[in-house]
Amino acid sequence: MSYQMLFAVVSFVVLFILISTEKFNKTILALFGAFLFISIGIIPQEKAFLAEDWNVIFLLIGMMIIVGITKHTGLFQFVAVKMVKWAKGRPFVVMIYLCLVTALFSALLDNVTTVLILTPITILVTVELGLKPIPFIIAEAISSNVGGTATLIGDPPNIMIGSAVGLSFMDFVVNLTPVVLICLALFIGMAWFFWGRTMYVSNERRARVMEFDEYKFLQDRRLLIVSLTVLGLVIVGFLVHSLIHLEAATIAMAGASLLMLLSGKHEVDKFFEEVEWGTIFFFLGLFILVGGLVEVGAIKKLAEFFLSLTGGDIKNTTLLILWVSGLFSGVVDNIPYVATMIPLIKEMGTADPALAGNAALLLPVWWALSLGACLGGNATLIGASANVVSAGLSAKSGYPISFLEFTKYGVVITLAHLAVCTVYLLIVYF
Amino acid sequence: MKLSLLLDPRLIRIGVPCNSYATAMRAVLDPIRRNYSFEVSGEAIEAALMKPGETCEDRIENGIAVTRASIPHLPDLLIALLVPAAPVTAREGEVRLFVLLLSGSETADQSLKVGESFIRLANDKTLFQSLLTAQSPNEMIDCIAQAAIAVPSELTVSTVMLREVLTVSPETTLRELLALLCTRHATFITVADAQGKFLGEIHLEDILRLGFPDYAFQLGSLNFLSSFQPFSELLDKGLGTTADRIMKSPPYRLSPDSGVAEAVFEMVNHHHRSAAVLGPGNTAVGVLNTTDLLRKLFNLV
Repeated sequence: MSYQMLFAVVSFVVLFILISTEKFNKTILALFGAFLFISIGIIPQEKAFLAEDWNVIFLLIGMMIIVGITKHTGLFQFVAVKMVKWAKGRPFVVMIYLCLVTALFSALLDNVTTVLILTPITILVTVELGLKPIPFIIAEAISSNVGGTATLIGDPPNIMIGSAVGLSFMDFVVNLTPVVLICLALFIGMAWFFWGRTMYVSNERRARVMEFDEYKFLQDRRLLIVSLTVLGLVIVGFLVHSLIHLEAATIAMAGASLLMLLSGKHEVDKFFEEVEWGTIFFFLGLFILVGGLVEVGAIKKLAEFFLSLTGGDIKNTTLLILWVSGLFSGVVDNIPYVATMIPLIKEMGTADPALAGNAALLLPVWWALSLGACLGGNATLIGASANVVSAGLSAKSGYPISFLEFTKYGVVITLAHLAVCTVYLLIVYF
Repeated sequence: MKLSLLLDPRLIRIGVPCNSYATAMRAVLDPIRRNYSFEVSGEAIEAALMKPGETCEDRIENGIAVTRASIPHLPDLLIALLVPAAPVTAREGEVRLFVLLLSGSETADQSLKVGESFIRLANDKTLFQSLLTAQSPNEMIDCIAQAAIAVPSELTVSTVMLREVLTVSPETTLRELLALLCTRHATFITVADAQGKFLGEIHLEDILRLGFPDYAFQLGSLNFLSSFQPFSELLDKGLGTTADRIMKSPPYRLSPDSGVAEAVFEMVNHHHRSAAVLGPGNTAVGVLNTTDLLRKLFNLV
């Protein structure tokens, strides 16, 4: 191992640990690391720009604008309250419906925005029903991570994998949605044992919630119609983007531009404020860091090590990636983890003569990476951004969720989900 | 700017017999009426000066009484001084020097600064004594000139703050707190420990806010429901809540020496209608109140 490679690996590991501890701003760490890699020549400046995955960047920006505008319509709160009323205030049914809505929104939008919008209304509903909000908040955070796993746009790891491997929206739907639905059903069953059995709501409380007027959320009907239309078009665009030879990023940016054009009344600056620029710049820095590791040959070495562990057997590799990703994502940020694993798996495809030239053989490994990284985030409170965000909102409202409180459920659920995924991958692909 | 340069010897009277505060006010106003002519009658000004807290504001500290009054359309700041033949008894103690400041709208903040200069001057016992023993107006002005008393270039919080601070202990219940606020017609109260150390502040809004946890604000509106459980709970069981659970730490710290612009900025920025002013030992020494502040800054006394 050359000194340059050693320096790159050590710097990357240190940055990775610092990012995962969340003691420092991860965007600044990633940008500083990128500057370090470029300035000391680990990756030349020209190659650093080529290392950026612009499909990921613009897909995120486009979806952030669309979701940012749509959230002002009150649609999400409307749906949540509607679900509670459809459940007639019966506590476990309320939990199921809210989990399903969270999973659906997370699959079609993004899971952090989903929990940001749904957590406050969930706390309100549970308090009005006389229930403890924390089980509902944990259940929604877990559902958001599960739901986000189902589609290309549901969770950042999927966006990265889809873009890097050239997988379409439908590829994710066909390959991941079935197992996600099984995981969701399993989770609901577990939620009954964890929380559902002991919930009770009085008739008076139930009647109070049934009197909620959810239509009051829909104040701007014009914006609602425009947003729903554009969102519908974007989803249709995602479903057919591989057929019309357009990248998902192009569809998302087209949708964002159309929505900005049709929403009209706001200034352009307001629309761009909806973009989480910190996240975007985090990705920009991260891609350069990983590009640096590829450039110095560290990823190749790691890929060779992985192949030596599994003997080049795809089945073993798939299961190893699933469980390593699942366990890793519970304790470290899954975005830098997936960013590192993508070139590693690609390298495995070229390093192994049996796999070279036949990318389809590696597909189970990509699905294993997605399932492990996305579902693994449920293991602990810090495993996924959605968990951190919902716990933060909950604490601010007077319902703090401790690391242990979340983890005692999260670990069991994650292990169960990884077991389901193992069986699914073995049955479907081997 | 030197304070001495603003003084007019014609408006300084020494050794005038005054048997009451009202007599002293008339006496200090007299040279202004004789030497300046206004559209407003002297009687109207005199009547205004007799209503402290309404049409004029007075501050009595360390033997000096500084009275500020606003005269519409007055194009100048007039400073009249009076040393009574014998100390005059006022509600805050004996007054040995009367200062009358008449200002128009354009000189309102200057009037506040000059008033503050005189208060500071009285804190210097030696200087104050030499002023009181001056034999002539010019000697008095020379005395101030030699002491190089300057009018502060910036208004400070101590100039405009209210010195009466309502304070409760952390154990005070909401029931007691509300009784106190209602009795004193106050909207703001500070919380201090047994040693008087400032712990936090309570605005009326903070009490009502107890009924609305953070998630309600995240939703932005509660128009979709007819009752709200936390608010109902506040009304049903909230009176036993203690001050330490309601109080908040101010996100900024104001001292008597803080600039008024800085203080107003912080209050506006945090939507505060009142703010505590903290002195040495972290004790609350004053309160800034928006209504009072506006009155003073725009010379609407």
